[in-house]
Amino acid sequence: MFKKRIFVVMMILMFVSLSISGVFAQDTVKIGTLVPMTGGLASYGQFTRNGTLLAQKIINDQGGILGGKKLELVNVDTQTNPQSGVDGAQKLVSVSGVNAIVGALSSGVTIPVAESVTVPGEVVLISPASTSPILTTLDDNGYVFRTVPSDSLQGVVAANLASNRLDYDKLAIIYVNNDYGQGLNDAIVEQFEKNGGEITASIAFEPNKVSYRSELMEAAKDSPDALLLVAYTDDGGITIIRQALENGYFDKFIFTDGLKAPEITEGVEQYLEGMYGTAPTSMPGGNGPEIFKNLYEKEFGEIPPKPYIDTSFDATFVLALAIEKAGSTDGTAIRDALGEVLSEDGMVVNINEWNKAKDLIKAGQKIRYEGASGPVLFNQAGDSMGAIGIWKIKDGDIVNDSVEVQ
Amino acid sequence: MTLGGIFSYLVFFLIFTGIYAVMTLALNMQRGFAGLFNIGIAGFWAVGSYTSAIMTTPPSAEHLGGYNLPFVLGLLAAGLVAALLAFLIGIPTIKLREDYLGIATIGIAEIIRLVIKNEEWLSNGVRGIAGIPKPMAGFLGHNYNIFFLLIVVLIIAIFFYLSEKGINSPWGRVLRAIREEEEVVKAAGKNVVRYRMEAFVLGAFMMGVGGALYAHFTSFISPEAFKPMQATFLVWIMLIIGGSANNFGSLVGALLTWGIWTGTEFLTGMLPAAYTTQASALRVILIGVFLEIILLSRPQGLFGEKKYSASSSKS
Repeated sequence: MFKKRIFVVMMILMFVSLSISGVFAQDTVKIGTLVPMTGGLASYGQFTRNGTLLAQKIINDQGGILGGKKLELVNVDTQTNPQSGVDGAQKLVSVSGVNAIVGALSSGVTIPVAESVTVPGEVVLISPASTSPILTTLDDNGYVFRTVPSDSLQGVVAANLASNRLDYDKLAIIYVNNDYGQGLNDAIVEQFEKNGGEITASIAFEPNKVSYRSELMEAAKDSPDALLLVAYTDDGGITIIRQALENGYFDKFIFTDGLKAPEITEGVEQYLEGMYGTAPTSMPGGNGPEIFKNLYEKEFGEIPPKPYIDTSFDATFVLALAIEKAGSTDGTAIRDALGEVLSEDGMVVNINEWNKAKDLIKAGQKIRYEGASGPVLFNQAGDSMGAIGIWKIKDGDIVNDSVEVQ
Repeated sequence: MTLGGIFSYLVFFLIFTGIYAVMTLALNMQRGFAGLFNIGIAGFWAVGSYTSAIMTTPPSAEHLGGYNLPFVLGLLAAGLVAALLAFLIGIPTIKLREDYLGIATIGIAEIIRLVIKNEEWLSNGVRGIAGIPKPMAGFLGHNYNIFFLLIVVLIIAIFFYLSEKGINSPWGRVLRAIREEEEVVKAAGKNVVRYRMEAFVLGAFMMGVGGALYAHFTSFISPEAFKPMQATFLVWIMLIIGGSANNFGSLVGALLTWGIWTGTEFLTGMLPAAYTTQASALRVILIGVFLEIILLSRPQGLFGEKKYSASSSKS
């Protein structure tokens, strides 16, 4: 009976692996990381994972957590897909027994994970990358946070940039057809019209097509002053820029955070000179991003190549702060501690000062955490309050121009 | 890792398996018994999920309705709308032979996904619908998943019973005869198109209900959940592993395939943390290897076609 044998062997393998992972479990403090290592967002997942690892290293190098225990990160792959993501989250909660999770990246995974696993299981979830406005209004008993601002913030800044600083009256928008693109588009349209401008076209595009000429033609129809492009570099954003220039549809652009990457100017530097863009950034004053860039380069040999690595670092770090403050790994205690430990006028803690943070917590002080993505402060809904930076293309390079605090 | 933790994961695992088992039973009705090559499962799944979501959520400005109906009506509506859709699709396509029907259904599934993605008034577009109510969630607290598992098991039991009953009846014999040799059945004076349509519509009804279960369990749906890999091909793998034309095989196929899909994570999870990236890729390879082993050693699936004899259904 061959089939029986295969079945039995598989079952045995599964149980052996289960029990082995149990036997070797040491007394550590566990935080789950729920990021995509395969599937559509795999190229982001690997690097956000690095962000969490760097935070783990700093914490463990400086004496660990909860009186000297090591911080352990348990990773589960979401496959960039809600079915696998929800299953993975349940594994983290039930089998690995974590009460705090960093993840997931796309809102399409984060929301079902929150609704079906972490909120009912009283587990704290901090997403480093989900920008959907739905997360703000989720009925989550306060268990869901994010270290990235909601789309609507950036949309307001981009619209103000177009109407106030650049004096555009008519604007065309082309955005990637997912919740990120949709959210930004809605916010931009609302604000730009409030400023008295006119949106001549607002067109969604499907990623990774060969040609975007029909979208561009439609966008250029009513002769808008500029094109506001909401896209990522690797889903068609670069193609759109190239084709807009080649065919003369547009010569003025405004970009958003997904395009804040050196690749966009390669070969077309002179045409993009002086263009502006927006991106979530750190609040002025702190130097968290600078320290983070150096630490990351030292550890992994390159400067952080993708967005959301810094926010992943921060999500891990603030979870650790909350666990230390709570004195336990109970989900409810962590949730409450997150609200108590961080404060705008607290004592400044930089990202490499875990020891100092522990001392402050022991002394009952509040902390102003100057995170890798800027100071991390949560509002009532668990959203990160952030600043949006305006950047500019100068001599073919991307330089930061100014910061709008919200 | 505690015993309670393993138990709660097991319950969770069985719920997911159960939802997939509903899909597999449905596909078995279409493919196993009637020979209909439906590779548009994701479309019916999505329609079921969205229908139930729209029926049971409170009124909302973001998508159609929000009719606040009870869970049971949501399930029923999901099945009926999916069945109606299958009927409409069936009118032009059901006469097509095997592979042509396959091409038509995969196209239709993509159309449904893109409609959901772009028609915001209907489905809130790419943002999806959140807060889909879980039946009785308020009363049951921590052991909620056990209750939901019971619902899933109940629905599987109903579908399983009806499916067995149907296939052992004269109706079922005609279906299987059509699958084997359409011309002969025609010669015997049976309306082949009608029988095929009935199997297609019944299967779609079950898929719609399965989709509704998924929506209520995860409380959130967006177009991301209905990609062909997880929503269509995984169900096909389950059917093939379990053995086509065997309802019991469909259940085991769902259990085993989803077990491999998620269980491999425990295997690769034992690798040191430094290999996390590779472990995830390795896991996908392992899934392929395990499925390959089963298919090579049991090409007819674990159970193969059940012998349905005429005498077992004298009623």
